[in-house]
Amino acid sequence: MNTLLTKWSRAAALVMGMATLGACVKYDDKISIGPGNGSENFAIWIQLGSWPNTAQYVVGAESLLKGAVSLKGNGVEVTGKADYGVVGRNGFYYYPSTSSNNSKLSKFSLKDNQLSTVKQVPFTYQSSVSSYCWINDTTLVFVGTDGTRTKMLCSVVNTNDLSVKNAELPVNPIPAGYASLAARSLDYVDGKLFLTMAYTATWPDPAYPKAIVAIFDYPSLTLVKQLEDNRSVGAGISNMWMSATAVDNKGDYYALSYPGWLSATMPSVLYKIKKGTTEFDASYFVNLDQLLGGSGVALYGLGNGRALVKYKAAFDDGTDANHIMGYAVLDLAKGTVVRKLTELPLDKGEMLQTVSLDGNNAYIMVNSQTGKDYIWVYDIERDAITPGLEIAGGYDYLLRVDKLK
Amino acid sequence: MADLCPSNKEPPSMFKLIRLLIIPIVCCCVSTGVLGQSTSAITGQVRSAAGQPLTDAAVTIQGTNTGAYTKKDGRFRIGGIKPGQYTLVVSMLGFFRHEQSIELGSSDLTVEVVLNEETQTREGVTVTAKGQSRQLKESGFAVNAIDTRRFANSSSDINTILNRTTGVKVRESGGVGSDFHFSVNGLSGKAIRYFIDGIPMEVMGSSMTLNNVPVNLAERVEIYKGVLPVSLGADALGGAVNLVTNQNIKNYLDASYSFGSFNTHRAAVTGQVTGKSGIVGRVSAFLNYSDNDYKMKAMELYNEDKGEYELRDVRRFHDQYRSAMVQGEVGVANKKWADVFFVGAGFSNTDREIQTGSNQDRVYGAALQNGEAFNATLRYKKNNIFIDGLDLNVFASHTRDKYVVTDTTGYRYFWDGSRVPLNQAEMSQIKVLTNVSRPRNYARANFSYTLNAQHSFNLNYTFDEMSNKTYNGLVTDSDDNPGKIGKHILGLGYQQNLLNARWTNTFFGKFYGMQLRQDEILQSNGEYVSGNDSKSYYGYGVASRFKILPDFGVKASYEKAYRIPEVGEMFGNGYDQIANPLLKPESSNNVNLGAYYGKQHGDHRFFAEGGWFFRDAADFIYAKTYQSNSQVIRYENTSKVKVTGAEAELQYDFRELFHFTVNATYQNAINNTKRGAGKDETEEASYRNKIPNQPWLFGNALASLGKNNLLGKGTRIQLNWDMQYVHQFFLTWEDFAVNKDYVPDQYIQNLGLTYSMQNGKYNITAECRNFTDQRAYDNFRLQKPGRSFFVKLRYFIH
Repeated sequence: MNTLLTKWSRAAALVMGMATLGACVKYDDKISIGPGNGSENFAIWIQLGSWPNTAQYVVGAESLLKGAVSLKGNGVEVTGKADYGVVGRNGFYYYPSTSSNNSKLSKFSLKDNQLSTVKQVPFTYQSSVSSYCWINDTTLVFVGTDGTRTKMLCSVVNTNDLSVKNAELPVNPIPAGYASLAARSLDYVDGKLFLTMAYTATWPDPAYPKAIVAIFDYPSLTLVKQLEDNRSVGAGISNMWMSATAVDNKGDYYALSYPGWLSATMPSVLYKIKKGTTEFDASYFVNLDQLLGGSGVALYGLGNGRALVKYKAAFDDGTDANHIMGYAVLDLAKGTVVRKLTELPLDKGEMLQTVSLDGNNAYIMVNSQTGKDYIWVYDIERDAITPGLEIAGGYDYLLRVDKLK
Repeated sequence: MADLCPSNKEPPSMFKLIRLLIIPIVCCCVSTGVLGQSTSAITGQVRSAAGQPLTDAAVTIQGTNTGAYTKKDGRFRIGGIKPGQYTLVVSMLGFFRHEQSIELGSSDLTVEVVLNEETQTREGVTVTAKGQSRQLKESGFAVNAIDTRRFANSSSDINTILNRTTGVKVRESGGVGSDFHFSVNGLSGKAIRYFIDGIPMEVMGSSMTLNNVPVNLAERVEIYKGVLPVSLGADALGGAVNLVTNQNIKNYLDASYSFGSFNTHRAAVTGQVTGKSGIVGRVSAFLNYSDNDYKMKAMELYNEDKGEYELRDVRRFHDQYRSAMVQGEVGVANKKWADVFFVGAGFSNTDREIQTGSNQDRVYGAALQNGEAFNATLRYKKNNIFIDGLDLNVFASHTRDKYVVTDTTGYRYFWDGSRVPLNQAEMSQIKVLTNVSRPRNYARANFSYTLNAQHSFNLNYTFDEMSNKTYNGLVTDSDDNPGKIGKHILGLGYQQNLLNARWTNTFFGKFYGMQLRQDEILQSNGEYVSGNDSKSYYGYGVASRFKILPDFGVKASYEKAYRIPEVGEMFGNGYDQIANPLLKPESSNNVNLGAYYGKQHGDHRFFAEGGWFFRDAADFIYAKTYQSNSQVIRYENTSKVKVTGAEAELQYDFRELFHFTVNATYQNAINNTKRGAGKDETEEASYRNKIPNQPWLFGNALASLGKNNLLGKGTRIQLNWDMQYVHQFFLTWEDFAVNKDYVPDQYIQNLGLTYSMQNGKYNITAECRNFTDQRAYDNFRLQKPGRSFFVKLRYFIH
């Protein structure tokens, strides 16, 4: 019996010994909030890996003009923390959890391969944020919809303390036969908010066939006018993801409409609202399908009366796996093509913020089928293209490029 | 290249061959099974001292080349022997050799053989199947054979047991009944197939999975790694798990009930009864229930008063799980026209609340999954059906399997139970009541022919036909465009035992044929056509074992394996998934090398095995969604993976007092996709990098200490301890970025104390799982339960 007890006690000692192994792992349970440590000048968002082992990363860059950047031991992995529906300005990123639904508004800074949280607050008033614009350096407006997609909602954010004021935007009621509202682009033009929007049906049925711009007074948020045109649909595009509107050097407002699944037949077009008016310019209508030979999907104003347009330069098989996207420079006022940027390889079908503007340079990030991937530098004054920063590696998707400072 | 055409295309000749030859042969054999009996043969049965039939015992006639291995029921037959006096020798690992003089006359001789085990049976811990499991381990195949009766008094499910073995990693997303990811040597998901007694587990209905089958219902579990014998007819790319139920022909009853933390209850019963008329009835049933309201540690929640987020421990609030299954069979055994003939029926049901998405930041508060399945089965078996040594095993079934996923709430939930409206359903973009119905017809015929002790053959044919009806119950009440798939899998194996069975080789070839049909498929140009396609593939392999010493053997196996696409993967759903007629099957070259050594020295028993494995898998099929506003997805062959690894296990026993097992597995899975989609020249950045987010180094240790008759005659008291170790692994690609998220090292330990009375008739077990209350993760940010307690009561008569 004694022998047995000895054996049992030995076994117990063994068990206790092993149990202590379990105490080795500690979890660092804290929420890391700090002032941020500044930001790089630029940020590049990249997806790495072959499906389904894909992850998203952000890597900072001081300059996009030359050199190369890689994610090898570099950059910060952001899958689950933020996604590429973000707003960058003055060294910070603002992220209203556009697609991750974690119902927070976060302010981040990006420096030394760290995406640091500066502040975060609950953000549940809007369920789907599509659009944003800046009123001034500290006032950011988000527009989106409620849970039922039947209300157009607006949140005015003080970016210093992330305090939020919410209000419903009084848009016209959803027409009979349609299910919901969709906010697209938002611009602050001459003391007013210009919101492009659509009334959608349940997919895949087509949307209410009008291109719509709703104009609100700011800060009263009263509806000045809701403009409709029946020659296209899908004016603007969710500018959390890419830009489809531009205000030129004269203060005129241009909106690109890209119907996509909203209509099987309507073309993509350009609309214009002259400075000081609240009407579509009746004399202005540019059919981009005809002008470019393919739908325009995004528009970036260059500041000199011209704009970069991203368009489908090759056959679209309905997915975005192929390299089909080209760029062209438009003369906005004339509604003509200055030239197609044929120096650029065709970009993969990313419908994302792959263009960033910085003074006289427009940076165009192209995911190429052959050869290396570059952020190309378009010199606006000289109308010249040169390869800039190389994105070295071979990445599945190049998601967005932002000027942060 | 596949063609998608609106015609009723004739299936290829192999399908015709199957229809014209195989099916009539099966029918013919069944109907004429009573013919063709030899007149001069030795038949009989080999059992253990406890009365259990012993499979694969070698029965030889001394001085001749004649012999046979016993079947699953312990029976054997050696035909074509001249009358005379002989010595019959019966041997099996783990048992004393048995020799017996016999005199064979002009008529058949029947002998009953009882083998005595080399060690005595432990009360409460039956080890009589040890020989069988050991024999499997000593086959040419890379196989884990686990005698689950060792764990019969544990309140665990099968997954928990298998997770402690080499090469296997089960990753559960939560508590009882949660989704799980079963990986064998680095391949997982649809690459792994599950069987019960050689029949696909899906035949029982989708409610029945390894995470809810109580351990008592299986007698043994076999995990085939990368290379499958033809008798498991399936397109298993990475391996298979086969649950073997009690094949005992004696009456028995095993009933158990356990309860414990998180309001968890499990009941299971399995038994067999034989009537005086020879009618045999068998039943297996289980019931699982749990609230799964375990504590989630350090969840981020907003504190209104402080105006900041803080970490709080909260309980899960929407994770209730209930499942029930009953399967019954009635029939006869040992008749002239059938060794076994059973008809059966079963019902299973599962209801569960869904608490989280792919990580714990996605909290669900209303989503549900409910499913139920019915099946009807038929089993027939006849040995020596036409000629001596030719055995037939037939199984056929029809299954009606339905489940509904309810995702209709339109609210976003938080860990404190609060919610806000959401512009989509919880899990999907739109509110859905996803109804999935999969009626299934399955048939399997297995012929095995033993020519003599040196040469044997196995021909296996399975036909598996399933419709896939899926619809959103909020919009419609039926699927007007169901997909249908018919799989024909034909396998032929040849086994040779050379050099007095020191060297065993199994060669096999497999034919995989599939017929796919769907009325409407959406093509990438937006047009609809009807889909009708046939495809066929050929796989092959070999498994070999050589015994260098009686207890020391080396083995090697190889298979070119496939996982053929499902109809939905090929044809899409005609709605938001477009067809991909160019889709190829997933394929893999699987190689295993291994060795084992067993030794008994006095009271000490020792067994070691180890292996190296290699998988070169290509064309993995995934639904590829895109980054843009594209509304459609398409299944594509997206990636290639190469896995190399090694595993080893040591077991030590000291009498029936002490048992210890330790094992470790290392697997290096790398991305072998050289070029990403749409990249013609640049190598993919992650090419040859370790696949992220999966454990790659893990091990287990188990120890038990038990004593018989300590508290009275026929009693046993036993203390069990086990620990699972998982080395830290990164959530994303290891070589990229800095400060990456990872799952840290884990040491999860469990303790159990069992007291058995009346030689294992009455058993009570108390368990503490995760007794150090570690934060346990199988997946990043999906916490599993902390410390929990269970008590199990078990009644076992046999």
